[in-house]
Amino acid sequence: MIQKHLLDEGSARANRGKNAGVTVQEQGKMARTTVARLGGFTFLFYISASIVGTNLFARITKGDGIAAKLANIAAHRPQMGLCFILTLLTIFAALILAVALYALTRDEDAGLALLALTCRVVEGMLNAVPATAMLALLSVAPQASTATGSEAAASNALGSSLLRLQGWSVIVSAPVFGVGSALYYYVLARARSVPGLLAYFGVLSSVLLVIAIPLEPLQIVRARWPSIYGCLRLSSN
Amino acid sequence: MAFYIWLPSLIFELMFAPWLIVKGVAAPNESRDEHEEI
Repeated sequence: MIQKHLLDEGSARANRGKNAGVTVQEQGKMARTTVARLGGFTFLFYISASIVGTNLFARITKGDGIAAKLANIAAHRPQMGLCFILTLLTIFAALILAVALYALTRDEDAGLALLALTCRVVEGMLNAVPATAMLALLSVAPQASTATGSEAAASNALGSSLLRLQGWSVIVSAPVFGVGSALYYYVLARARSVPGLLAYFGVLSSVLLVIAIPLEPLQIVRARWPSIYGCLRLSSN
Repeated sequence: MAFYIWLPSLIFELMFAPWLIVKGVAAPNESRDEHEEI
């Protein structure tokens, strides 16, 4: 083992430029450390941006009824702009994480790592949906506050759909995020690159998202089932 | 409800991010060599 290591070290020694005297293995290790650090900081940034953005958006869109909510958005345009920028930044955070985790896992299983990369890239693209909806809300909200009659009704309907789109985009992107994350953490666990307990906790928490988030709309159906069932019985009679 | 579904993932990421920053990630062959030596 030691002999093989010394032979590898001798053959891999680079003698050019600023990396003179540093083996290819050492260079690879340094690159992995840098990528891991980038991934770690991006994780923290992604979490902070998401929490701050979600809480700010919830505050801006408070109100009794859609007209009050749109009026609140119209009165808080700079804050809505900040929400948009934070959501835009989460797109880049998702993409950076996708590439960083791919770089850390591709040596163990290139196929699974590529599938996970694709899922996380799709997650980043899906983050563009709420960002676009926020821009649309910024346009619709001032019009809704000044419109009257049928125009106001149309603006309110559009505003209501745009607000719901925020939740719908999470229902779509969360399972995609979960599959990508579960695959990355599974590969890391298999490669023993991180402690198994930590990696498998990541797998389980990601699988929970894949299963539970798409069930939420079904729970709404289940909660309304008595009334739907009653209507069906009445129509059949 | 949605918050509690996200909570395990959030806790994991809050543990995993400092791990990545401080400890990094060992290469697959490196971690196996360490295991074999032990």
